Amino acid sequence: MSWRPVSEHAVSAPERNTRILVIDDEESIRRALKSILSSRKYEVSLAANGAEGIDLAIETNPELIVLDLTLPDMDGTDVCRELRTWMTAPIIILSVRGNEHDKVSALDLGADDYLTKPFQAGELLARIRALLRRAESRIVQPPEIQAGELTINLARRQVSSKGGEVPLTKTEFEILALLVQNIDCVVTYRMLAEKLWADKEDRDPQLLRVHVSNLRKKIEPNPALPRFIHTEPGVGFRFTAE
Amino acid sequence: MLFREIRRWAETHAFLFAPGLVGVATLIFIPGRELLDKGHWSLLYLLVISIVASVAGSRPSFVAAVTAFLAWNVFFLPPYNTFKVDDPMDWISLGVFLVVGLLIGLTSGRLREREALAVSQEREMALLNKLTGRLLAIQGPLEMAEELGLEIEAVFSPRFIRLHIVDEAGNRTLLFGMKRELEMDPLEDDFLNWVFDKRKGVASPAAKSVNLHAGSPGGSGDILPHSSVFRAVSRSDVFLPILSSSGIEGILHIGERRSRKPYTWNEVQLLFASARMAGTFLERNRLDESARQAETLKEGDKLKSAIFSSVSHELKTPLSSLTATISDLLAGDMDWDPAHIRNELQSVKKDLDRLSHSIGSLLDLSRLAAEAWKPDLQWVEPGEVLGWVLFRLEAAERERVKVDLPEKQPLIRVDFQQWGRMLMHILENALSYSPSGSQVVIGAQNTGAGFETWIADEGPGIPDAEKEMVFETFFRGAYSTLLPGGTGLGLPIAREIARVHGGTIRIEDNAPGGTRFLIELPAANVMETGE
Repeated sequence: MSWRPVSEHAVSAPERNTRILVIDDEESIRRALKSILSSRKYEVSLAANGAEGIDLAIETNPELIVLDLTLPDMDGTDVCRELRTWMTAPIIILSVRGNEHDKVSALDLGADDYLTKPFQAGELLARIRALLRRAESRIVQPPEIQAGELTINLARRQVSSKGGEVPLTKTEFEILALLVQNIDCVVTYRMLAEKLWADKEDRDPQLLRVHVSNLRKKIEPNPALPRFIHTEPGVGFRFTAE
Repeated sequence: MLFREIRRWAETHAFLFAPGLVGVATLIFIPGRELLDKGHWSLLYLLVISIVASVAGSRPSFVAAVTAFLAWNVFFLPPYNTFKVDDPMDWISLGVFLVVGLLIGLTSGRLREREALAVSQEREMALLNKLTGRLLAIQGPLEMAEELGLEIEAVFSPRFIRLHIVDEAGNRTLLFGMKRELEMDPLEDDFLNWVFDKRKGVASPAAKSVNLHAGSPGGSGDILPHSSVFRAVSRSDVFLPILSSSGIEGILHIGERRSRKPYTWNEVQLLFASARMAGTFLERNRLDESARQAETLKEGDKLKSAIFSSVSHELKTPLSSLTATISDLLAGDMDWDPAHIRNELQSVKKDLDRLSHSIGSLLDLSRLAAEAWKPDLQWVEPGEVLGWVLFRLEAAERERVKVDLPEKQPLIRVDFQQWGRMLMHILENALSYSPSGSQVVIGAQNTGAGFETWIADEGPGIPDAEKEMVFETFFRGAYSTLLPGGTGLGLPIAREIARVHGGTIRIEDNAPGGTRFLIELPAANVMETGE
């Protein structure tokens, strides 16, 4: 049951060396990340603080950035804001349990996903792959996505499960489409709300939960125990095909 | 009632009342002038003087005596309507009459003052008694100030009452201000500062007549008139230091009476005594407060050292085995085969998981200790939280969990992460205290009285005696030595999370064997959805 785009643009292992910039003040984390990523044939550059990180980002033009939120010289969220003024490469935030607030504001400022320390190497690699894949698919989007028994055709706006069509409301489809386009990546409440409701006044997270709940009832094999749409408390949702 | 009103009028208009009453009596007496002997009329006049004396006091009765002396002479001693007296013996009668009249005034006036004193003493006693009784039952300074204010208001009806608390540096906080809308006097600050510096009261009582409290605190030296504090200042409000054995606790400022009647010396002394009582109360309250804080600190220390010992154990054990395993792998004298290395790394991973888990619990605990444990409540679906929890478990452990949720669930209002962490702690407890491979069932339902979640395992069960103890910090139960891991913090943390949600956790025996944790969330946090 793996994610399988129907198009031929799968990027399971980097064909060329993808450049990743790691910004973290902890020497041991930098060392571990360098070892994990280099062995996967990523080209890794390391920065120990925010200023150095921004310099290296300009110099090496990385395709993905791993950014620690707690840095000695400046706030991780500020680095994020700074980087987003000119670059579009995905940013993964490393946070510790407890600073949920910083995490959410970094995501709002343009970071793409987060990992809570301590994390497993497998988790980090999965997130990196998902984000790189997403960056790629922004150029050529697969028209149809398969997740378990669920088939989602974005172009035709059709969802089917076990061969039968699943009727979705317009809002439900919009939510599902955004989640699926960002498969394995976190989608924040804010991203969803901005996509769904142009009017700021309507952006009620509670209403969003109701729509997601209804969506789950239609597509989840066991809606009481969601398998596809996972809640990231305080942040948003994540669609996985597992 | 009528009598009291006449009396009050007589008291306030004494020098009109005395000659008036004599005049009225004379007008009544004149028509019957011939019925009685002239000497008898003098006795009736003495009766009138006595009435004046008893109603209005000494000095008015002197006026009455002189007026009656003249009236008797003019209207009842022949020749009538002149000051002339025919009978020389009448001069003696007149002289005796005047002396007796004045004596009546003097004696009854004294009696009357004694009575007034007795009344005011009784009032003082009543006030102090009431205050003592109430202060014993009172909890905080504000409540005390309100009681004191109400009592003073009832007895004296001043225009305002203000109670300032002062600290050692002299910084004032207005604790209580009855009728605080009244403008502050520009001199008020100066007086308050003076009272704080000198620890003395300021008042200009009407008469310094009988000093009942001479020698006691608040004797004459402790209260000075306004004019001696600030030259040429004349006012009738009262500033009193609220003293205690450790110094000054505050300042009581009482405005002039609404009736404008100045305070007497005794009344000022009474207020001083009340202030003193308030001082004792404030001091006691302050000392109690610091004793409580010391107690809390001590408790905190105990908790800290308990955490410290648990932490050292929980962190050191995996650390030592990590160090041993890794240093062995790194040792140059052996050529390990990859299978062995992999095996060793598996145990390294296990130790690390244990470390990570302990640190997570400690983080929970430190937030709990920092009282940052305020739930961020939202309406969520129970399954959503449960899904989040289950996907955080190791795949092998997840396999052991059977979920028994009804298709249709209500919404519950909880802090998503906290509620999840609570379930996680109980679930991990159930998984680690039951045989590996055995099933753990988690289920939930809306009972109407609340939302009930249960987590049941097939472990050895918890003896009744320990069912409550497991929620105590660092209690790990009899078999904790047989099983690895666990800081003894998980269940106390879980209970604390349930508590801040208004819920409860309790333990039941599971049929046929094992333990069943029951978590209840009150009905106010449960909402059935439509459809």
